[in-house]
Amino acid sequence: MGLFRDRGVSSRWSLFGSPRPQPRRAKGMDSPDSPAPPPEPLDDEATEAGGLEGEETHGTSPASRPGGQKPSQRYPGLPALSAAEARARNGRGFAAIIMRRHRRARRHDHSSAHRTHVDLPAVENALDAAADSLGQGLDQAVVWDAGTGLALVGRGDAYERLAPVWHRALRDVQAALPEAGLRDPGSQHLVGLRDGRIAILLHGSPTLGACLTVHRHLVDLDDVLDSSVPRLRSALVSASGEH
Amino acid sequence: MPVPALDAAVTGLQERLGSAIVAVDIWDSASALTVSGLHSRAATGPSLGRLAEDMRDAAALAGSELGDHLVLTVHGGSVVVVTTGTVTAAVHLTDEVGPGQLVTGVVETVRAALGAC
Repeated sequence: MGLFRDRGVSSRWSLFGSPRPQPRRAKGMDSPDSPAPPPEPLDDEATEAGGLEGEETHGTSPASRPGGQKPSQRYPGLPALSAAEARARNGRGFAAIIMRRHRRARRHDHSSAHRTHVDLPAVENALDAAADSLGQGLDQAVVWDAGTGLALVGRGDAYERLAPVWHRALRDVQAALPEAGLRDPGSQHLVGLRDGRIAILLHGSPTLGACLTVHRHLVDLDDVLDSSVPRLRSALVSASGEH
Repeated sequence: MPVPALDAAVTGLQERLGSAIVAVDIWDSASALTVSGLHSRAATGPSLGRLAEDMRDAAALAGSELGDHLVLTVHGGSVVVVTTGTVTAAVHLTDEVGPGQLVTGVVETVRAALGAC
């Protein structure tokens, strides 16, 4: 006895010397140990129509049918024709149309062609320039990927932890303003903090977001908001590109 | 809620900021119900009130505590949100007011107007 693969009959593995594999059937059918299923009650209508012979009620499997004949229709509500006959007579129904539509949709799907490129050295240079202009007034600075909220570049000891926090805050602002009846949110928002700091959230580009946390009393806010922040924003826009 | 005092604060803001004001909304911070305003919108109080709560959470996660003001920019202007005591005010301004002046001037003005109530 050995193990072989019977390719002619089925893709299952069999043992040499074992009987030829039989087609799979539902559990309990044709098993010598299992008792034959009890005859199901028939309604008078089906019996009168000659739809079911008395002897066929005891053996419903193909093997038990003499000559493999198809049993007559059991329920009057089911279609009289087999599926193959109905297809030959009426065509393939809607399946061909649906398949054609799916193929067309797949052909025109461009979602996988979207790529993002960020010039990280340029972002580093932009943050260096911002840090130089803010001096001691800069507490933390972080630039993140606007899709995921993950930190890309930063200054300060906790910028990696702050990136997802301010990313979510920026998204909350961008969502809340239209709900409040204020169309077209701008690209920078300020959050006053109690310890004398201000978080400046920047929506630099569709690809990048940024936050500068500055000590309010150590910087000239007019200068920061009128020159440093716009310079950083334009650097982020030029550093991110979409292909 | 001192509604007449808040109405007077709105009038005072209108006098100080002049034509730069587009709208003013003042709402109860706890319930987000609008109590006074100028050209106010029904959705502003609840939406910006919820945003202030979100910002409070963000500031806590960032290891700090939210202060009493937010400055939000929108197309053609900005919105200054100031919370004092039990009320919050949102002042919508045109872009006549520069970004630096918003924090140094307008926030103080709104804070003073609400503080007097």
